[in-house]
Amino acid sequence: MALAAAALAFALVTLFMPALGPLFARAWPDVTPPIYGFASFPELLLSHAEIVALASAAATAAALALGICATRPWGRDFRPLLGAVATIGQTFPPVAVLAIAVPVLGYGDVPTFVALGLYGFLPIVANVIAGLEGVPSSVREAAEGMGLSSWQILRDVELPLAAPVILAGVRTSVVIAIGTATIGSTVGAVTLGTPIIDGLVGDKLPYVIEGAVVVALFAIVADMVFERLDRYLRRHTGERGG
Amino acid sequence: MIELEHVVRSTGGRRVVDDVSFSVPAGAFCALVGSSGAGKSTTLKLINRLVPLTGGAIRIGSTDVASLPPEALRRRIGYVIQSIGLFPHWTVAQNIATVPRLLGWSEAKIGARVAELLALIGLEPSYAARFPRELSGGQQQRIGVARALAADPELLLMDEPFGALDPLTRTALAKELALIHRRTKKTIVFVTHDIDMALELADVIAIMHEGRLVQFGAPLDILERPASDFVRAFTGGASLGLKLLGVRRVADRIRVEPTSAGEPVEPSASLAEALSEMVVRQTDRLPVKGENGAPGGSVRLSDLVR
Repeated sequence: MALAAAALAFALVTLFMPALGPLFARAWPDVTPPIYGFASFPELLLSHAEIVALASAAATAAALALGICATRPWGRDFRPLLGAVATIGQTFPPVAVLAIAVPVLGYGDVPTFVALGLYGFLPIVANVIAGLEGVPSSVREAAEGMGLSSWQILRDVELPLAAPVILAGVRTSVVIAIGTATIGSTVGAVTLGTPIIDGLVGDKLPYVIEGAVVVALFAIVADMVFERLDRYLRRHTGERGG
Repeated sequence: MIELEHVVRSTGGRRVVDDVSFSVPAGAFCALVGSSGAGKSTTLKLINRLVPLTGGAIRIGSTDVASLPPEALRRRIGYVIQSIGLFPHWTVAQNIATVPRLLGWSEAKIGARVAELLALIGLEPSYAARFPRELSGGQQQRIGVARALAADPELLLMDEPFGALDPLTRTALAKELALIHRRTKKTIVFVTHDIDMALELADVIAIMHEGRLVQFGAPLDILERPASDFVRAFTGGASLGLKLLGVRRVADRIRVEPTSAGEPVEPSASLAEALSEMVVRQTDRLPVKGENGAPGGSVRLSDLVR
């Protein structure tokens, strides 16, 4: 079972990183200590995950709200504007957002959270719109003709049918955010990027490797969890039968 | 009973439905026919307010449709569309239960109703747990009809319900619909561009052309006394005679005389069926069963053309 194996590797590497000390000491004898020591990897991971979770939750909530508005009959005019704003958001590199955010918001978690939220918004809002617009018009007409209210149509018909597409957007967004959050450490956020940045600045390659491996495993496990969720959703939306 | 009174719908300065008035008696099957763009689908959607009325009034029984909130109105009216529109993420049972659930029926009552409707449309109870994508087009539209009938509405609106099906399935479903109509006595308004289907199924036919109602009457009436050249061309054209044979009944042509040999035909059969039998049997005379135990008679080839 791939997910279980990846999750196990992720947990072991994060919890027992110090046990790999002799390995790194042998490869890079002049780096001491061989394992990054200013914070433990479980601590770094928790802080990293917290920033990503909050930013992705905010991006998802905003994307759902705006995407739903832009696909209502009264919000159609708003749809091109939303597309434009989201695309511009995506063309800004997260580093640039950080650079702009720091003077306003100061150092720490907050500018990172803002950059990740803005950056993660586009893939989600694009999929919310695509998912809702992908609901066949015949299904919507039938729902209306049966006497469902517009709120019931949204809740019982449109959102469940769009769910797999929306989830795919969230998945992309979260996996990107897990990787991108590492640059937050350049402005003082505590993330798995901290050992990477310190390693780059201090010319200590083992720290870079340690941080990168944990981030990579985190992203892989998160992606696999989303894949599971996707399969579950599709089974329950009749796409693959019973 | 459903009554349309000077109904108008205009959009973009154009009258899509232009001063249409007719009434369909309770329990009757009304076909709304016309070529595409005649305004028949719009007229149908005016009834359940999917399209807002510009002028005039529509009453179902004694209720003005404008007096009810649209959702409440629609829950009282069955609606079947050409593209079917089953909810793909719901099972067949959940699809059929759509309106009963909206109306807050108990689970037990819903379950019993679903079973009853599956039987009515001739599907095994095991279909209840299937998803729409596992069904053929014909089966899906059967479910569409069952869903529309679920809350026992007084009125059933059908917008080209069999238009997207293959001819064989279409004929089979039309036959089933006639049966369902006979059994449930629902008032049905049925939009189609297929005049043959209208002649076969309907008690009354409303013919529309460019937004106007050009004739309203029983099938035989319309064939025998077309109100205009348009109606004549639309309903019959070159094959008017054949269509008349399809609408007229053997009962009206029966001769009381000693029956001839062979299997007698039903008096309710159409003259077209009688003619077909004559050709097959290579005879110009068919025995006919008596109505309600009365002595039978026969029908002759010459009677068909009278």
